[in-house]
Amino acid sequence: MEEWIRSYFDIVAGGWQGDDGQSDAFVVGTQPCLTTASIAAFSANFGETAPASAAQLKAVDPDDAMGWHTHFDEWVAQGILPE
Amino acid sequence: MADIMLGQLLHRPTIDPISGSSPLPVQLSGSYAKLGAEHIEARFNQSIAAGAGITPVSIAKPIVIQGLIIYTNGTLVDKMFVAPSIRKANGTWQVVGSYGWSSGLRLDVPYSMGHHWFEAYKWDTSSKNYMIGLRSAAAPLVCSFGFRLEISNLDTVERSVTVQINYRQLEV
Repeated sequence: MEEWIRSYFDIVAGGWQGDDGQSDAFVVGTQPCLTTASIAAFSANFGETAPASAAQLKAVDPDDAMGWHTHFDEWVAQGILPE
Repeated sequence: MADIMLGQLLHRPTIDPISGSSPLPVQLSGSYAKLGAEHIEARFNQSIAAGAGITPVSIAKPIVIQGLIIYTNGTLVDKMFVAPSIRKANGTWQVVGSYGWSSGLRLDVPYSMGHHWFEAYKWDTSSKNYMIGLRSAAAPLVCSFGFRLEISNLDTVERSVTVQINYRQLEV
């Protein structure tokens, strides 16, 4: 997952301040404002392997409690992920 | 009257709030800066996915902040992290404080000191309506080169926040 993120998204070195200190973040989107996310947290939530599709990622959290479905749809629209 | 008072503030010798001792890289003076006529009040309501963060405010211009409030709409938020930054003369951003909803508020020295009016406050946690902010108790906060605010959601579920900022842009 981490390798997939680093190949598809802009990385902000040390851009995440979490409970365990600083770690790298990636740029999720820029609209309506800059949104970044912890690479480690995303990998922990959605699996260590690169995703094959948005549907696969959504299946991890079918009720969208974590609030990522909108971003996955944006990635599909951008051609980053197949639907 | 408020403008006159703020004008006096801008003419006053200022200590660099970052180092605590050296003068500001660029002193605000009557010939350099005057208050803009436009008073900007902006309000953002934004959802934040679990493990994500947003930057609802990023202003790379000289401004004075008259009020900044961050709150949730009746949602218990116990793992949000708020980091305000001030832009320095060289274009880099200096985080000047941090606010963890669960661990209480913490503000870096000297921003916790009264002379910079960067005061954190928090209330109404009993009814699960959380609000924190930077309160201008005595005078606005002068940001000579800009101001930025980042909010991270360290929780395992999506959270939403509302940010309201009142500021004036300084004209050059």
